[in-house]
Amino acid sequence: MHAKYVCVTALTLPALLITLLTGVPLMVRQHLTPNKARWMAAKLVLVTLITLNGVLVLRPVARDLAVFAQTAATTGSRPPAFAELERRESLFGDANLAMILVTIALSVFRPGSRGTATKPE
Amino acid sequence: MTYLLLRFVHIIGFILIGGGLISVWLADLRSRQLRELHAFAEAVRNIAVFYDGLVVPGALFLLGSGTWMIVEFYGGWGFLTVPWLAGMAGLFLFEFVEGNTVTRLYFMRLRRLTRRALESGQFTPELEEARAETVPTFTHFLDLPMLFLIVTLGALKPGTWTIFVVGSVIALAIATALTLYVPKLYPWGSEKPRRRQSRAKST
Repeated sequence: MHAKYVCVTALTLPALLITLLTGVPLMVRQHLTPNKARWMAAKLVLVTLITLNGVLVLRPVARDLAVFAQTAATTGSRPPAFAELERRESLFGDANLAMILVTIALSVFRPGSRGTATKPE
Repeated sequence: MTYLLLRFVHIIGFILIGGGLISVWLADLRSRQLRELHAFAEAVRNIAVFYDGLVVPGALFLLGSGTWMIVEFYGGWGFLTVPWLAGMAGLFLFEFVEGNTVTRLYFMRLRRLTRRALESGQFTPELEEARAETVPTFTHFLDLPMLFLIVTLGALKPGTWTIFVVGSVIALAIATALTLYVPKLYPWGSEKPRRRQSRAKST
């Protein structure tokens, strides 16, 4: 559980930050404003939701699970709140995974866009 | 549409293999730090789970979609004249063969030895020796730098071999440095007595 918390803090959240920091300049450079390209607007909303979900829900849940697991290792039994946290992590984690898949699909297929490459440039 | 679908599968494959290799890297590092058998066994089991559950499916996705795209959109063997594409394919092939002949087999052996150690209730000399082996340690540490080089080639699409050559040298240097440094940081097998002896001499 501690390893999972470390991964969320050290890998997932910095990776999301890099995605945002590189994605916005790329969007400006390619003149893909959200009001022109609907898929880009949807993608921006999804990336924002993924980031908020990661920072506000998944990271605190991972932290609490790590603390509870440490306690359980010393006391020999899991606290009652552990199962509820696991359920919440499963729910919001799956939601993030689904949103990531949709975001990738939007980036590749660019629905509604005329300039989508149907073969390599 | 076929190209877009193949690109989508290719990206999913990259995410699976990238996430899997990072997870394997972390689980391997954790296993090197641990001296409690059950926790060590859990870390080794995680390595196997990440390999079989993420790295292998990701590699198969990449292999399938990559081959299809090369055949359909890059003129078959003509891809050999495109430095970035030939570099990507060559490095992937090397990783695929090396990963399935050295690294993955080594981790499977490590899991088997760990199971035996669990049955006997303590670390066995064979397990300690296996954990300290250099060649699979090197190939394991080569995986991530190689993957990043493959991604670099795919993203920048250079028209010359310079990035391929420079990147390969850097990847080999990183893997060598990690192979030398990490086992010294967390010694196993034959390295432990030497360390103990040197400590005894210094005291």
